[in-house]
Amino acid sequence: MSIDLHNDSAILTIQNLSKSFGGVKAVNNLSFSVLQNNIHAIIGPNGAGKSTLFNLITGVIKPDMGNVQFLHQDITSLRPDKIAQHGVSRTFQNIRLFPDMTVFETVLIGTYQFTGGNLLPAFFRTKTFRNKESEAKERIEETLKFVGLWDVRNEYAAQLSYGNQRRVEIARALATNPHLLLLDEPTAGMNQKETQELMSLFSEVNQQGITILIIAHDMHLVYSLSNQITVINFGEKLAEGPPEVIQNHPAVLEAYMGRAETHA
Amino acid sequence: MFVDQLINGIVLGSIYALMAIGYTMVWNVLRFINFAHGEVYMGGAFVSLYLLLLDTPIWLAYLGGVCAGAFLGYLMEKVVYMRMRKAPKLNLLIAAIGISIVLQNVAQYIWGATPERLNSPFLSKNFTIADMEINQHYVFIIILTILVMIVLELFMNRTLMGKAVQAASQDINATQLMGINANKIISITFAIGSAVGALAGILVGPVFLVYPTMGVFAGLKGFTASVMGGMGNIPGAMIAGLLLGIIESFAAGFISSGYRDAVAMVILLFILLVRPQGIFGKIIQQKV
Repeated sequence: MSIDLHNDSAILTIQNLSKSFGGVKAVNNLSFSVLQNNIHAIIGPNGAGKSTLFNLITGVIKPDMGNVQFLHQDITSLRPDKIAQHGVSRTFQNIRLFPDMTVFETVLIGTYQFTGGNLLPAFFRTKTFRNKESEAKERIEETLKFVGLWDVRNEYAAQLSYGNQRRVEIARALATNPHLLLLDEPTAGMNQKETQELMSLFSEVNQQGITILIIAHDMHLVYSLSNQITVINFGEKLAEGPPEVIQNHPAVLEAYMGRAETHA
Repeated sequence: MFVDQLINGIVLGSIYALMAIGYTMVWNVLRFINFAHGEVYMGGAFVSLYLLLLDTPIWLAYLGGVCAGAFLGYLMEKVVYMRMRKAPKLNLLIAAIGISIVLQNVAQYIWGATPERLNSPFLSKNFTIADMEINQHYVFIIILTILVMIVLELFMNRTLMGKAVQAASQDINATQLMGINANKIISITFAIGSAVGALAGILVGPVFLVYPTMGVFAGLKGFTASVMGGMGNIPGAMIAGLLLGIIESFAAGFISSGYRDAVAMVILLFILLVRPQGIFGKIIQQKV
């Protein structure tokens, strides 16, 4: 990563963020910061506004109020592709792959911003273009080997196992060269083994200097993986702190005890 | 007789195939039918005609028509459809019909309603193979269509930008979230589809003449072919276009030329009933 930042500085700062759908306040005056190099978890009951928060950060929807700052730059009003180019990438709650693309092609899309865009250099295959292209191919190979999908690179992504489909999504996101990776319930529906393997993948991603913001329901995962947790309910911040604090936080216990299950 | 009809059918089918490409490509990225696509076909032909009146060399006049068509498609997207991204698809459909009627009237205002013949360097020449005479312009249409198909296939599958267009066709939001400017991809798609549509109009100009409403029926047939081929499937649209042209031509030759459209539409209805996803289409599962 080329950007020089202290480990304790904020990579993402959310200030007074609000978004309503009809009369429902999905996100309500929410403020928090994600520190550089952290694995920061967002937890909260279903419908707490977690996915809306991700959509606001990535620019898919625009807030009614408040702002989002990434690397000390206001990205609130930017288009989703611009935000991605700033270094925010994501996976989706329901895995979203390109149904007719191979694993390699899917990850190629993640590198497009570095190579594509201009038709003429691509058409005439200028030297700069060819250099960029081979760089991109190297990065794709590196990324696919990193997530363990290099051997299935020519298979259709949508035909892989559920766990591997998630890996393709992660590889595609990593190919955009992000500073911050948003993971929306990445282990939902995975079996024990797949969950364990993904968790160690997330740690490895984090060790490469990529900050992770993760939505999860699996408390075991949250407590063992993250070093900072923000609890939200009804779009508002309920509590914040490291796992050992959140584990025994009265407001958190109350919010979760209020439901039939203690965790999903 | 049989071979004659076959050649006529392939020529007609080439035009339908070129038109169908435009419908299918736009469907891919915006999921709506650009009913003003027939006017791109007409616009391209008129611009070529106009350039020839100015004594432009014929190849330059053709090229100018293709570029004008691409620009017209780009413009209607930028000026109208782009502002309706969040509107219901029905609004876009109605807007497209509106654009179509306005452009027909604009063409009539500028160039008049009298059909005119676009010049072709080949029209008055024939190839003689065995005992048959084949018009050279027909051969030109077929060769150019094949060329366009090859170039388009290469663009879509061998270039990064083609891959990005494919990605946008499959999930435009996810594509944008991976750092790709979706608006740019949509513009490129419109420009390419429209260039191909304008080329169809220019190729037809020397045979069926150029007039303001020439795009109405060609548009309808191109649209039919794109549905037959499976909406969104580019090779499917090309093959279906050719099939439709050949079927029509045989219907005209062996039944009666008055019933060619009816026969084509009966086949469309049959396909829609038996294979709603089109001949080469896949059943697309709706995302929840």
